[in-house]
Amino acid sequence: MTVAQSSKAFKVRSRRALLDNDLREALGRARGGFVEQRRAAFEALPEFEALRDAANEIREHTLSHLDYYLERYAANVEINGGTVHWASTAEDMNRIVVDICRRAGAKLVTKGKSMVSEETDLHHALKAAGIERMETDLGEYIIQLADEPPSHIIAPAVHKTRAQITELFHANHARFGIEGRAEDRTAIVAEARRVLREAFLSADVGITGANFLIAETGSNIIVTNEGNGDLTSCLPKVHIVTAGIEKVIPTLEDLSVFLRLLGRSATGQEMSAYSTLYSGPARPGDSDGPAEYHVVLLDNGRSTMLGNEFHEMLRCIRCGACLNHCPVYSHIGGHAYGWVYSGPMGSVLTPLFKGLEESYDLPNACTLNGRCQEVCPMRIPLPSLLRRLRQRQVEAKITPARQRLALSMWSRLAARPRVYRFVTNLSMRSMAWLGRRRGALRYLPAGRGWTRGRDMPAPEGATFMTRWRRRGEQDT
Amino acid sequence: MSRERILAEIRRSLKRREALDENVRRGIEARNADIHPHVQPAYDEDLVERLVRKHRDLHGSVEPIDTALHIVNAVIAYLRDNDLPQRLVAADRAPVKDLPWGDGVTCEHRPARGDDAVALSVADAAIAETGTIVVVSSPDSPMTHNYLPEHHIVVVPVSVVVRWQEDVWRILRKRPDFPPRGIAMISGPSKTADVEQTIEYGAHGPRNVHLLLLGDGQARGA
Amino acid sequence: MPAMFASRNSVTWDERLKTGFFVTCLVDLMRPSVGFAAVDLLEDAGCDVSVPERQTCCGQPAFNSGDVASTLPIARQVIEAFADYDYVVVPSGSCAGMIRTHYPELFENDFTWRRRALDLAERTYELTTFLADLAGWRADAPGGSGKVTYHDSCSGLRELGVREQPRRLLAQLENVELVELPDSNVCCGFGGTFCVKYPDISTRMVDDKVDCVADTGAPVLLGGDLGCLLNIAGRMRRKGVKTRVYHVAEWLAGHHDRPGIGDPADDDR
Ligand code: SF4
Repeated sequence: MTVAQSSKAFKVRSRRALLDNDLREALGRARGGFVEQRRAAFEALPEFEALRDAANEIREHTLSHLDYYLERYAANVEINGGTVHWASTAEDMNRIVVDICRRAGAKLVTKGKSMVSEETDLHHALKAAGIERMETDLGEYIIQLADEPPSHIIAPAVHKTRAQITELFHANHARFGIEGRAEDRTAIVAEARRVLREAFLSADVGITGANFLIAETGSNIIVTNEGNGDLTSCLPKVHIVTAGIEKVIPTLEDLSVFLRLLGRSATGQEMSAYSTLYSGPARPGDSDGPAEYHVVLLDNGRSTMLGNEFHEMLRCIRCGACLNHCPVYSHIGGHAYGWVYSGPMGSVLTPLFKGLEESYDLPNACTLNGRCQEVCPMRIPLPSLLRRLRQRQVEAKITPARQRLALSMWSRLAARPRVYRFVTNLSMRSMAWLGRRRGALRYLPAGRGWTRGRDMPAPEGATFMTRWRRRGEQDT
Repeated sequence: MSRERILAEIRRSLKRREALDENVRRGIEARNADIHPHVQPAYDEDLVERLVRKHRDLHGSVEPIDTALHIVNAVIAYLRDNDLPQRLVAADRAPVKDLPWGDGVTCEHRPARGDDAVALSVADAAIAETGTIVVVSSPDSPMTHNYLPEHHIVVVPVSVVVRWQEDVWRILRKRPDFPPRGIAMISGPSKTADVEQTIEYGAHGPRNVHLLLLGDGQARGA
Repeated sequence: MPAMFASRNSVTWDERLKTGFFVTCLVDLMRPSVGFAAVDLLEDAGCDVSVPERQTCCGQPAFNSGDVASTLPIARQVIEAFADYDYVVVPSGSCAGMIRTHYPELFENDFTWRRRALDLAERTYELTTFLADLAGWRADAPGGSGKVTYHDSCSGLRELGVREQPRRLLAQLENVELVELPDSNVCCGFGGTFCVKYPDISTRMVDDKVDCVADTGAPVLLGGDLGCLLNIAGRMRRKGVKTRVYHVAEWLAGHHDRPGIGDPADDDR
């Protein structure tokens, strides 16, 4: 895709989003709740900054010895009786997962929410292999029915209104013998429970993500509120965990630091309802649990990122706080960003995964207001990373020529104070004259972007520097 | 092989040719052997009181009982009050093993099935910090009990109540089966906010988590 | 710190500290009266104010667009122009932030210039911070009156921690009542080139801001960054909203009778 195309795609999607009243309603409701709940949770936690320091220290320590920790983690998974698979690319991961499913003779897999599987587009690989997939997180299930990507990393269906969900269920649940419409929230949740319960009990393979991998014990931890991740992990005879290589942390004590930050940052909860550590398949004598336990460790560019100027992004714990506090995200929603990661963290990750050109707009469609960095539990300098991406775009000449020209003209002018003084004084005086009646201009020939939605307040006339000089001359 | 390729790329990014040298490795091992909690939220509330308060805040219910002899009556009363069938699955361990259920109640020690309405478990620990119950999987304590039935009754001996999450790790490390296959940290009933960002309870797992707070024989104002 | 300074309303201070005023391109071009107000305030506070001739823009538009090559000559020019002042004061949080946080980053690999950039960064202050925290400015005239509300511009707030300073200064104006703006810390949608490149998103963001201002019932909006104020005032004019918009320096200096930003010169409202 060329810049013009991808740019258009973002602009079209974001404009469509701005005009979508259902989306506006859904996003408006979500924003207030998340922001307020997070604020209250951290207000009640004087140790917040100390926890952030500790979490960053742990992440930096682990990342700078990542090879060691991955090997240690893998060794412990194997001691627990599990199998570790290493996937360099998205295709590798999909192939490994499909192979495991095939060997298990799987017809139906249940899936817990996993951003990594969205990243590799595992859904299509499963579909191509003729394996049916049921998403079990209610939000993921809703968007699976709608055949849409998630619009938020922790609330995938945040863009859907209740009425839309009612209709989706109605259109899809006849095959389970469900006739009427589930209208209120309780009925919707009950219907999902009923439908998904069947899937949990009959699935051959369960696929989950992992919030963290613990090297000390060879465990993965899954944090959910619904308990769907646990039913996916415990019931099928094969459990597959998919996780990015950056998810590993050293010890259980380290885990506690992250758990204190994760729920509070995401939804304002001290602890989500279920935080469960899984270490391998069923043990001798166990009456439930999977017979096979697999972990697929995905690289997909992360090991390269570790050594470049975007390595700070590997600290991300996918809490979603940056999305919830982003004024751009909260107006356009996640789909406008065009890929699975959205908002500030997505605007950094997507260009790194998908290419600077294809995602031209993402780093640019940001005011660099810094609220994301302020709330990020990992203190990731998201605005600086976005600015760095813009620099790479300029260097690669992906930035539109017109913009580059305008900026370089301005910069060259700014580097010549005398000429600058003359040109600006003249321009301001003419603009002031044009706007003298209204005090503002409705239209600017060279600034249509500005005057599309607002007037340009008229300048006062001669520039400050001109007037200052005059004042100096009068004084002397 | 992918494994070697990934590790090599990581080392390249970290500007290291080989695996860690001995000294650094020993330093890391020392870090991880010297186990101590990092930052813990300070509080000075009584542990049991806080556990009860936090668990209730999480929409769970709590009933103090004096001795293990009271478990049967408390469970039967719970089933009756909630219009539940007089049957349940239970862990096969003290203090819920070999209880005198009487004729009317069927109690089975097996994994949960889709149609079980009630499970009865024993907490291995309870974290007062957050109102979280910890149930560890074992042959006597199937994981499915925590997630399938609509009602989860958990016996919590006050002796297992700990102050912080890290206390659980300390206790678990002493077990011969460490790390156990599953460590369930349960903070209230199952819930979802995926419809209109408003909480509904009983998404996939229990609608209610009912704690039987088993005292040390002394009455407590829970 | 305030002891280093004394304003004319307290003790006289003979060796007044040399203060370089960086007017910033937007104030220079669009609203010189903010510059004059700022100079008045600084002189009130006892500073010996100069306006170096060689200043233009801080280079932020190029820097934020990822054009480092174009930013460097501008940054060097600013560093040189302000080399000889004890303090450099800027009536904008985002331009002061550019100098304080980003100039040193720009010269990461250039020892000499980095040292000069760090030296400038240390001497550079956003106007309200300088007046409130260092200069100990005291109001000597009642100034404007009535209800006002205040928008916290993002760069000043988050890069420099400007929040209490303008409020403390305004609290000295006896007849001014500050009504807090809901979501005052949420971006107004300006974002430099952002508002021109993504006008639709930007318009929605500024609409939220305009609505919040309306919720306060205050007829006057103040702020410390002309970029945001031009954006908000521009949207208000387009929508026919009558709120008057000023840079906080204008109110502090008692220039509150002038037409607000985007108001007709012969304001008869
Ligand atoms: S970037 Fe920070 S705030 Fe955003 S999801 Fe990652 S950890 Fe959370």
